[in-house]
Amino acid sequence: MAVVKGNSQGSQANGAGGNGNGRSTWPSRGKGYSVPGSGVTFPPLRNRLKALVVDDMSACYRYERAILQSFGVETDVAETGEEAVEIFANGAYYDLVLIEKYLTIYAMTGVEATRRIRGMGFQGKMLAVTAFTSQSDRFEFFDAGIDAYLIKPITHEMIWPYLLQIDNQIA
Amino acid sequence: MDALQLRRQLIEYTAELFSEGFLDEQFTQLQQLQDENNPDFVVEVVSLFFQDSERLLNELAKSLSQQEIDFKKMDAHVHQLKGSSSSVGAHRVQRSCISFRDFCNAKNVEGCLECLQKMKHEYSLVKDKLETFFDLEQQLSTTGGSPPPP
Repeated sequence: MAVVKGNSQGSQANGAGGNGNGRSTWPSRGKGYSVPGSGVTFPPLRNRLKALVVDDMSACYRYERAILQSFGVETDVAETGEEAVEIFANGAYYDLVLIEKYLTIYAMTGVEATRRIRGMGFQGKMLAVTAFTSQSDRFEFFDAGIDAYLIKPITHEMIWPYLLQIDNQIA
Repeated sequence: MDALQLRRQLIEYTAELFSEGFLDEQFTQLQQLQDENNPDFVVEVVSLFFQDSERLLNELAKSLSQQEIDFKKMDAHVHQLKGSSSSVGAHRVQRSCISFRDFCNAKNVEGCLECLQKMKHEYSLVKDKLETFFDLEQQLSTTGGSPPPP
C-alpha cells in the first residue's frame, strides 16, 4: 500500500472527483504569494491544482511541499518510485509531479518511475528536480518523459511558469 | 541581555553566517516561508537536514571502508546529501559534495576519503552554527523581542 504524506490536513492521494479524472473542479482557493521584503507578488491561480513530490530526502520534500503550498497547490509526497507508481496505478490524479532521480538506493529510480507513470497514460506536467546535472542524466530523464529538468533548490520564480501554464490550460 | 541587545546579536551572527559562506540565499528562502501557519518551519527543515546528513555521512564512511567500493552507491548518496544541503542553504557542505562527486567519478579513493573528512567537518561546523542561531532566536523570543526580518 503506498504511503502518501499529504497536506497537514491529511488529504488523500485519490482526487475528489468532479470531471471524471479525479481532479477537483472547485473554484480557485489558490492564494497569491508575495515574497516577503522583495515586492514580488505572484497572483492567485484560478484553479485548485494538485501536485505530487517524489523524493526520499525529508528536508527536500518538506521544502518543495512548502513552496507549492505557498501558491495554494495541494501537495502530496511519495518517498519512493514504487510508491509514486502505485499512487498512479490506484487512479490518483495530479496536475504536476516533481521527481528526483535518486530515490531509495538500488530501488526504482525517478527515471524509471517517470517512464512507468507516463506509460500509464499520465499527461500532466512532470519536472525532474535533482541535485546534480549531467548530459546523460538529462537525456535519461527526457527520454523517460519529463517535461523539464530543474536543479535543486527550486524557488518560487522557477516553479511559477509551470504552475501558470497548467492553470491556463484548464478551462 | 535585553531584547534589543539580543536582536542586534542575532542580526550580527546571521550576517556572519552568510559572509563566512556557511549559509547562502536559500536559508533566507526558508525563513520567508515561515509564517503563522508554519511557525517552526525553519527549525523543522533544518532538523530534517541534520537527520539526512548524519545518515548519509555514515553511509559514505561505510562504503569507503568496504573492500570493494561501490562508487555508484556513493554517487547516489552524495547526490542526496547535496540535495538536502542545498534545500537549507548549507553552502559549504554543498560545495564539499561537489568535490566528493568529482573524486567519486574518478574512482579516486584517497580523494574521496579526504573529501569525506572535509564534508564531516563542514557539516559539524554548520550544525553548531545553526544550533547557536536557533538558540539566539529562542532567547529573543523568550524576552519578548521580535525577530529581525529575513
